[in-house]
Amino acid sequence: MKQICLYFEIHQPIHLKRYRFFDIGKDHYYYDDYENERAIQETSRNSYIPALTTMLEMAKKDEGFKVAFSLSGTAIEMLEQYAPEVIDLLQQLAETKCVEFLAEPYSHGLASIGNEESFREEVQRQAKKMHELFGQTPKVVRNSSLIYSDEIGAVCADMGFKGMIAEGAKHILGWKSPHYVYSCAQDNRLSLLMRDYNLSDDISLRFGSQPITADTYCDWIAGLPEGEDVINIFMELVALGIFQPLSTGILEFFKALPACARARGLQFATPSEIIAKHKAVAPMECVYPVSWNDEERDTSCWLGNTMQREAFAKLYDEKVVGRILACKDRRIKADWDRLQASNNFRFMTTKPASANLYRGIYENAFDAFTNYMNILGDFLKRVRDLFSDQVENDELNALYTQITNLGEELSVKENEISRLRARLEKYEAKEKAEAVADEKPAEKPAAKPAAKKPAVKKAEAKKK
Amino acid sequence: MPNKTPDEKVVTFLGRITMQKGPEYFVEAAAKVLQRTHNIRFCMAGSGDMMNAMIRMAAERGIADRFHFPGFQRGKQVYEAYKNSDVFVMPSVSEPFGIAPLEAMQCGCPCIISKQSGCGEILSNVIKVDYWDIDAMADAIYSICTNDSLYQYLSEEGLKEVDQITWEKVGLRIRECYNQLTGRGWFDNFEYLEAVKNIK
Repeated sequence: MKQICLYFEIHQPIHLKRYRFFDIGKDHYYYDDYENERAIQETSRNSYIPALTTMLEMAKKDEGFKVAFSLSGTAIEMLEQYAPEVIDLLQQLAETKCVEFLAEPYSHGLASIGNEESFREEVQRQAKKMHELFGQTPKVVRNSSLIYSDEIGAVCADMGFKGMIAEGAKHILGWKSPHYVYSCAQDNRLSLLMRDYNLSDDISLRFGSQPITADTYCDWIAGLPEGEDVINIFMELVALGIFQPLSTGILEFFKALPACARARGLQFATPSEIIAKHKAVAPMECVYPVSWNDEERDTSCWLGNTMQREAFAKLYDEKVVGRILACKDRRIKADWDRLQASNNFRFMTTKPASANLYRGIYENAFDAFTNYMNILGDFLKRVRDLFSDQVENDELNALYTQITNLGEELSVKENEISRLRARLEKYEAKEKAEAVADEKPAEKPAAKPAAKKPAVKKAEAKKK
Repeated sequence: MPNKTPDEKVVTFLGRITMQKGPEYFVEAAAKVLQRTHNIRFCMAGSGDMMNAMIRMAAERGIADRFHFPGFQRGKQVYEAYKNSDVFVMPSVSEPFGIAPLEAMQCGCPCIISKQSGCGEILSNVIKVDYWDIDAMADAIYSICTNDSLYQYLSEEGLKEVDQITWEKVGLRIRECYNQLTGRGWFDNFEYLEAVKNIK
């Protein structure tokens, strides 16, 4: 039986404000609050709320509709602040049990290719947040913009994830079909779900210009060859409402999907269900990272030119990452999340295909680069000021582990103190008793409380 | 003319020092940049009726030790000036076309031009700012001087871009225009077809 796996990504970048070089060292607030509020509210109004309301209705109707979501940490922060009703809707969806939430790096950044340690930390942080908000611990992971390579897969498998979703890019699939479950070439514990970009883009990119009905769409899926049972349709949630305006009738298309699918014997399933049901047919080799962006399906839209590479190298400098992970400064950590967002790099692209790209507040790539580097300059200065420049990361780690272990060490010492104190008490009591026994053997029990008091006082003094 | 060295950058303005070229915006931007950094020199080459006013202005801003006026440049000197610069700035208030940035780009020098310049319409590997926006201009100068990747990108891609702009192409387009006006068709013009063949 063919299973349709629907997955939607919810991510909104936090826009940076216009930041001149003479602000470096003076101004440590980097965000364009007005634009952020406007953007998230507009997106929620035109896309997230209508789309999620529709899906909630579909889930409640109990027609076997299932769907998966993942949210970037920065999007959660923005939604919590400016559009909490979206989080409410997602929580209601979570209660219907038809929804699975996936893990992804908190910042929607490029840590997976920049710094492994930071990537692990981010995914764990986001997974924890998913659990807090929706009561589910993610078992399947999704990297920013579906960036995937063998190495990233191995890291995710090591973190205990059962599955990962990736782009069904032609240059890694070759003659293979994306409609099977594959496994990571470096670690076969990790199953891979490959996005079918034709069927996904039919909705997210082409629905307005080449409208289709749910009937036709399900016919296409039902008409796939025997054995090709997993149809992965992944897109950003903004596809419903922003890429394809609501006036195209895209939500009506979605509403009709479950009935049309059932009529053709198609099922909906979440990524975990698919991984549990289908065994991987073969390992998927992927040496260089792939992503779902642009025609090239690689990382060239973030790291294609020298400017992007310089910014990337400075952001993920080993010393910088070590310092940020070791520090406890909440503002630095929050800024680090926001500066990492892949959108900041996308704004700097100079690829010919990017002529009409949405660049936020920037006019062009140079403008985006200049502004980002000014902000990064200030941020890196703050990070450098945290610890002396001479300190190496290893020393820093030692320092950090020492701090975290301090609590444990203290409790060990405390145990020892109380043990010694008890021993002392016993010893003193015994001594006193012996002394008393020498004088008046009858007053033996009265000596005990008198002996206890000085011992307690002594211990208190020791504690201080 | 100051020469660029590994630890000192040179930012150049080259043209008539008159109101149309917006030299005062260049001085203001220089003052902003020099508040932050000291390893950049500014150079205002050329002469004109505002030259003395600009010398006074630089002195008033307290940047005269880093701001140079080498005077009118002729012939080869112009190209030497471009070669010795890390950034070329053309803050013209109004410029019908402005060929200077193209010459600078031929020498591999990144350009900042005002949006009010005609050549901005055909160039993409330059930084464009409003002539009055001294904050943006200063920011662009600082960015090119401190971020090697931006300098490298603008220098290399700018050269590639400007190499595509040739007089032959312009000549042919004008010829085509005349042909249309005089009613001579495209294909009965042997000279035209030959010329097209010779252009890559």
